[in-house]
Amino acid sequence: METLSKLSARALEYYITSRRWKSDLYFSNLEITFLNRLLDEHFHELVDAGIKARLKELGKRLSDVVSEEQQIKELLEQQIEKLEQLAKDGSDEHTEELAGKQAHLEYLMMDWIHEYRVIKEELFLVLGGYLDTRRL
Amino acid sequence: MKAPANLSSKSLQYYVDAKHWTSDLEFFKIETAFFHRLLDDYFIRLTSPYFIEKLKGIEAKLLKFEEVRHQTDKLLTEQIMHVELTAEDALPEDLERIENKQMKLGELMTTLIKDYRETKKELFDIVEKVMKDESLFNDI
Repeated sequence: METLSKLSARALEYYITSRRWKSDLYFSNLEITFLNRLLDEHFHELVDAGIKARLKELGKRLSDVVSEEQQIKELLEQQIEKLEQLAKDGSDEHTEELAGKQAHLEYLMMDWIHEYRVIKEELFLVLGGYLDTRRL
Repeated sequence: MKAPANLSSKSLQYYVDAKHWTSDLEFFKIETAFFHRLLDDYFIRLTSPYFIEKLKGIEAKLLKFEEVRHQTDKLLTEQIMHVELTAEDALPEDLERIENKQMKLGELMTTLIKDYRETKKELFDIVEKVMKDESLFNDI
């Protein structure tokens, strides 16, 4: 987008970071689809009741993460649109509001990634343990 | 790190970013270990030479990734230590050196994450295909 050059260095940084976060969420979405497939179709009926319960709980937490992801994605899109509009208008974009939203998005993303990784780690632990017993 | 106040805000920001990248790499280590176990599980049960070759290709890419991850981790540790020593006044603050190294690290991380995601996409794709086709498995 050529008009982006009209943005201040700070606003351009917000724009690049927001696009990167959006791409991170997009990739996580592919990954969650894969993890769900792995849970539902490959492991679900094969494991004992204890493992089943843990996988069900992790599946639930994964779907919560997906809902949160949707909300963050919407906020990111709003921020990106706002920045693109500012670039088109060539107006002074040094607003408190923009910085505040970016800080909020950063907090949301950090929190989201942390929770997602915690779930994945638990999932790897349970599924890894299951794979090991299958190999015995 | 004892005295972050001794650092310029730029060095401090680089330090925080480097710590953040280190944490990313640590997580990738856990994740790739799981992918290796998952692929091993398929290797044992698969009968189709085509898919076995595909999985071997992904295994090789994951091993290569781990090599690069390890090297990048070493470079990140060096950078973190350098900034920590600067913060403790054991070294004078050489912002140009820290900045140059940070830029290289940023490029390394971008390429590493991009390549890793491509490998993961390939892995998801092939495992999906294998999951769909029961005839590819031995009856064990």
